[in-house]
Amino acid sequence: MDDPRPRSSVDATPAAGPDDATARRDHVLVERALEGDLGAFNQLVEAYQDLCHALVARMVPDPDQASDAVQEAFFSAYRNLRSYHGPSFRGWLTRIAINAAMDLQRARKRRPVSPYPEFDDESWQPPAGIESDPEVIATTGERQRALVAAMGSIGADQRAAIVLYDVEGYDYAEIAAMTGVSLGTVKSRIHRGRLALRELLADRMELFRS
Amino acid sequence: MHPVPDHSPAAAAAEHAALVVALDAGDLAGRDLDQAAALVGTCAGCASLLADLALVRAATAALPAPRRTRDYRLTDADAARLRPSTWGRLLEWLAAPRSSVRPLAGGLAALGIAGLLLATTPGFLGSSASISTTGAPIVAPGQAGGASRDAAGNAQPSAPSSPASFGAAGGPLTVAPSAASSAMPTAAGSTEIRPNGAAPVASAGSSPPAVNGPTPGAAAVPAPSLAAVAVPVPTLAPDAGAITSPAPAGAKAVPPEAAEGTQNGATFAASEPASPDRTVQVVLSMVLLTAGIALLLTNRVLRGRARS
Repeated sequence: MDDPRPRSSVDATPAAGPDDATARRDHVLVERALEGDLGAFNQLVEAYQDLCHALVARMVPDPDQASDAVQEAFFSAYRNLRSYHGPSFRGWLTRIAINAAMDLQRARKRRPVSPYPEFDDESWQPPAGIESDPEVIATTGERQRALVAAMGSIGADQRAAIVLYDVEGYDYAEIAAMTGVSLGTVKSRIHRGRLALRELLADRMELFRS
Repeated sequence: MHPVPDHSPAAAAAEHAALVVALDAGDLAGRDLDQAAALVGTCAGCASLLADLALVRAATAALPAPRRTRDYRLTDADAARLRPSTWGRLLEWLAAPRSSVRPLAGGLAALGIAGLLLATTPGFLGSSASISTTGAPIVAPGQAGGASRDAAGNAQPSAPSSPASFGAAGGPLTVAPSAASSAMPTAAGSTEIRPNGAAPVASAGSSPPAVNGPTPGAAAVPAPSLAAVAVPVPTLAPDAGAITSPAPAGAKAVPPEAAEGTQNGATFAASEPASPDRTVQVVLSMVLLTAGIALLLTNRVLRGRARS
């Protein structure tokens, strides 16, 4: 069966070969940050904060909590910068962000929140593309709201696994390494999470079929 | 169209759903794949589930990225707060996989073990008098020339009430009354310490049994004849902490069992306070060994935590 997943924007595959310009830039910035150059570290933050926020915000339904988790991830990265030994700063930082998100969700009791208020805000619309038909836009917005609400209702572990696999494009082994569970557990979480999503969306599946 | 199988039993339904979702994820192979494909081909509910899963999966992947509302760059205050303290750097050094902790810990532990071996092995330190733990016959004070008697006798308590038993580790020591003995140059009532049961003061004439504990009225006890008696234990002078030197050639042999009893009974109690240098060495070695082990354990624990 074809793998329909888009390849991740947060690619954990060590793309940081010796010739990789980004990896070399990261390495230089890490070295400077280790010497006490806060500006160098902040350049790394600028380079990866969108990516980390997108990842964590999908895993943590509450936007404020998601922002806190991302901030904590960067704090943790700065605090433990000496423990980074390559090869990919991006992969290392992503792992820290995932752990921060998981820790936050474990630490705080889940409370009913409205995930991603931008979906509730009628003034917000998905970016205009070739499908700029108002009806399509409305349907798309409704579908996304329903899906995000369902995502916020499944277990945190299942949600994290689904986000990492379906959205971010990691494979099972990478997710297992990141989350510290077995490969079978990762598969099980993804399977159960998808079944739960489908169960939650059962009466709104027309939105997805249209 | 094939008849729709009855999925009413919850277990069967769950099993079928698990097969379908695994099929959707591409995680099946071989017989399971065939079974799932057959299931989807024959079960309308399963086919619908497979289609819905694909739709949900596609929609999930197409979710727009949430917008960032915060700048996560660190301020100087953040950096100052997060910068590791001296304690933090120490912990970092201890936890570092390639730091010098392990060689250092191994070296300390090795030094400690070597020091302990040297301290507890007889003969290593050279000064035989201070580590005479072999139960070699030692001439009783005042006998066989009295050369050693002078050294020990000077240190012996001269008062009858002097503490005579300090065998804390080896059990009570036997105090052999020596008052009025011509062999004992010390004053009447002075005591000579011998380990309990290890003082067969075998000599010609009557040998009164030794009594445990200090003898209050030593003068009243018949003095044994100590002529040419070899005492099988180090003779201790409690206040001086010294052990008399080995017996001269003329000393009477000690029965093996007595010598053994001597070792069991009072050797350690007698030897430890007798050699302060060795005590220092033992303590130092223990400190080194403990430090080495503690460093190793700390390194292991911290690395384990860092990995987790």
